[in-house]
Amino acid sequence: MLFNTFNFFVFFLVFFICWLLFPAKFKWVSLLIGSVYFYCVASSILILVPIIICLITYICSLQINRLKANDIIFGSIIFIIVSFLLYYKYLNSFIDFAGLSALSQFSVVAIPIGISYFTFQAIGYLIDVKNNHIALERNIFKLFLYLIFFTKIIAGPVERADNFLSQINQPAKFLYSNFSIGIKLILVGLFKKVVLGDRLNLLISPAFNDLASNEGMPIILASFIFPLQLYMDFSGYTDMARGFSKILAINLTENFNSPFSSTTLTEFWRRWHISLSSWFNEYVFKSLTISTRNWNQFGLFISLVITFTIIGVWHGPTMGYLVYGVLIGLIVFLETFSKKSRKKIAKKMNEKAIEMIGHAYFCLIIVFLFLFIKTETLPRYANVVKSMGKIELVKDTKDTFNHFVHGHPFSTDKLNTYTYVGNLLDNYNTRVILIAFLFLLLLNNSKSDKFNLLNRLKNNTLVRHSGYIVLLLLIMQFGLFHNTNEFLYFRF
Amino acid sequence: MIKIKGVLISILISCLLFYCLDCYWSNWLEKQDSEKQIWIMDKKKQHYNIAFLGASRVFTCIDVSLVEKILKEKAINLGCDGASVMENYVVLSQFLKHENKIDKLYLQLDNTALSDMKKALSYPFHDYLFLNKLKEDEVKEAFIEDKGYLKYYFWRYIPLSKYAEFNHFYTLNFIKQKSQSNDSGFDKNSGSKLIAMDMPDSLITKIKSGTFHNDSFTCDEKSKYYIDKIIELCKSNNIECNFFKMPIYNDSYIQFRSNNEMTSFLSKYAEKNSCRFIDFQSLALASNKNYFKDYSHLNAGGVKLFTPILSDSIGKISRHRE
Repeated sequence: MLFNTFNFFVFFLVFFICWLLFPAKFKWVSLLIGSVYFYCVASSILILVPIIICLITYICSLQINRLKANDIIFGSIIFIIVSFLLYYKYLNSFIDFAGLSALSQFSVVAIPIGISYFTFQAIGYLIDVKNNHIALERNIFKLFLYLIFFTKIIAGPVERADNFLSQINQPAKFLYSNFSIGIKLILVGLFKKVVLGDRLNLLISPAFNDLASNEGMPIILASFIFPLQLYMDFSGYTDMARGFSKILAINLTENFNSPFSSTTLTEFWRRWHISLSSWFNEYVFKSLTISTRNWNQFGLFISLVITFTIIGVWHGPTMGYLVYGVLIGLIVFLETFSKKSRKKIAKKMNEKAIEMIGHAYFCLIIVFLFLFIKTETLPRYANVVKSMGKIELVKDTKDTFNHFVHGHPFSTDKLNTYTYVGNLLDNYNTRVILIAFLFLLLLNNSKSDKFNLLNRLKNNTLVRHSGYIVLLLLIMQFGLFHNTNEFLYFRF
Repeated sequence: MIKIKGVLISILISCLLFYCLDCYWSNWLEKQDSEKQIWIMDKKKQHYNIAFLGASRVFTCIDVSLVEKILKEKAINLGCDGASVMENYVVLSQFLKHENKIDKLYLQLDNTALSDMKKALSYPFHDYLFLNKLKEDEVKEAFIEDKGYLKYYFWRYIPLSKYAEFNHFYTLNFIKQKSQSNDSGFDKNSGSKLIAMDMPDSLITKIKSGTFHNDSFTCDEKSKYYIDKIIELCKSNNIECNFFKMPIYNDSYIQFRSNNEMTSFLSKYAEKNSCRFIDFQSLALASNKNYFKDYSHLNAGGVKLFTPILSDSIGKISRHRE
């Protein structure tokens, strides 16, 4: 039951009516029932995994005063919780990697949905309770709801316990303002996913699916488009998750803050998948920097590389993701290390030029880093990069000039390149995407003075509602519904 | 109160707008006669002596204009690509509702038609071509069978929702790709589409290295239900109904051990319903790869050879009936 399916909308509609019928003080009970139902539909018996993790977390949190004194026991408990994640997510790859065919009987057949998310949340909760950052939750059912709340179980956000539990501990009621914001978020999210994300996927898939025929320009173009597709897909999902929660009077954390406006990778990680990066910052990076504080710059280097390597491997058990994480750690370290010298140079240069260089640098870095997510494995990554390198810029430009000016036919060996690039420029999907981007730009809440008129107009109820109607119309006309695509981050 | 009023007005405007667009697409759909199903349902007050009903083995493997020439009777090809017997029934019922008349109907049946349609065909019911006919009983039944009650009522009562789901088909022309063509290339007089293509060598190798299918034959209950409905429809419209089986490339055909069971089932079934069953599998052309475009479809050359044989058989049945 993904957010962009008919079944989910029916489920949510029925659930919302039930939620309205519950008294304010017990609305959380309806959320729990709905979440358990949602989880059982998606993973059936595997609901036992979050139940066991919840039990461990609950019992340990009750015994937290005793555990505070003994770091080894506390660490062991954290390890037990993490071992569920390791077992379900990495065991099969480990068996394959180590050639332990004798252990294949233990291989994992199905993974409980959202295992990383509820594991991270359980760990975060325990550490926060241990450090007295939050009050102990004595109601195990509320704790369970925190772990498996259905709008965030598929792909986050990784919610902090204090934010979520404080909300469900308050009586909830239906508010028009919540409903209105929720609907807007759902529409924008759906628009991003089914109109932009899925259509961008249609543009890039032919190139990635047939590398041999799409060497050079096609694969370069597809690689540059992929980060945009990933963003539309993931931020669309998050917007929808936040929208559905908002209607149910739950505020989920924002996961994105214009990530592609960054000029450095360090800045990007403050804007991209915020809930995950801040979780790692809080519970992994900070602990590591404290442990390595005496090692100066090397300590920072180690902490960054370890943190980002874990983030990389969290995506999947492949060497590709490992290298992805290590590279991010290395680049972020280099950026931090060179911050002062960069500032000195920047002072001597034009501000706009600096910004442009920053954007260009970031753009290149992110394209090559996100290729790891697209390709998943190192050999495939190498193949894609090799294919990108086969561009013949001078010959291609000359051929194109001769074709359009002198009417010479394209050479047959390059036909695929021109067909792909030509299709990309003159394509129904491209036109839809351009219209959709324009509309999203108009709709996006901009605080900039440049859009003052638009902001004023948006305060007008009639204009706002008309905007929603047009948005819905665009979704219905241009969204891809026939073959529902999974959310890209669902697999993580 | 003002907010509620605003929301209500917005909902009202949305409904009105969606309803108008829904009407626009319904109207547009009726004009898409380049789609075979629409072309059939667009026919009104016509009289045909012979009609052929079935899937692509009727659509692309029978030259109806040649049948007309040989038998000197008016005929129509009602076959549609990838259609299940359920879709055949829906198309036929809509065709007859428009006061069209048929004297003799030849229904093509084989293993695919008698199997579970959802397993045998990739898209057994081309629902997106019937969206403007949701109120029709036969269409309603097929939709509920294919998509379930919830989706049927959602599509029927929420304006535009049905067209939204198939917006890859219902695309706005002004942003459509110039090279994109809607022409499915069939003869608009007879409804046949002949394909001049040879069977690729790779396919022949694949067929020859194929494994034998030992599955015993069972007729799917749902498919049988729709064949019964077609027979019933023929009876109520005074149409003589006969079954026939198109030739399939022999090297591939013999791989299915259940063929004999299937043909004997069809013979008995035809007899029970006072129909004739003609099996064209034993024709010599079924052993010649040059007459096929793939293992189950004749190419244009094969059709030219097969159609006179088919016409001859139809003529014999007619003479026998007289």
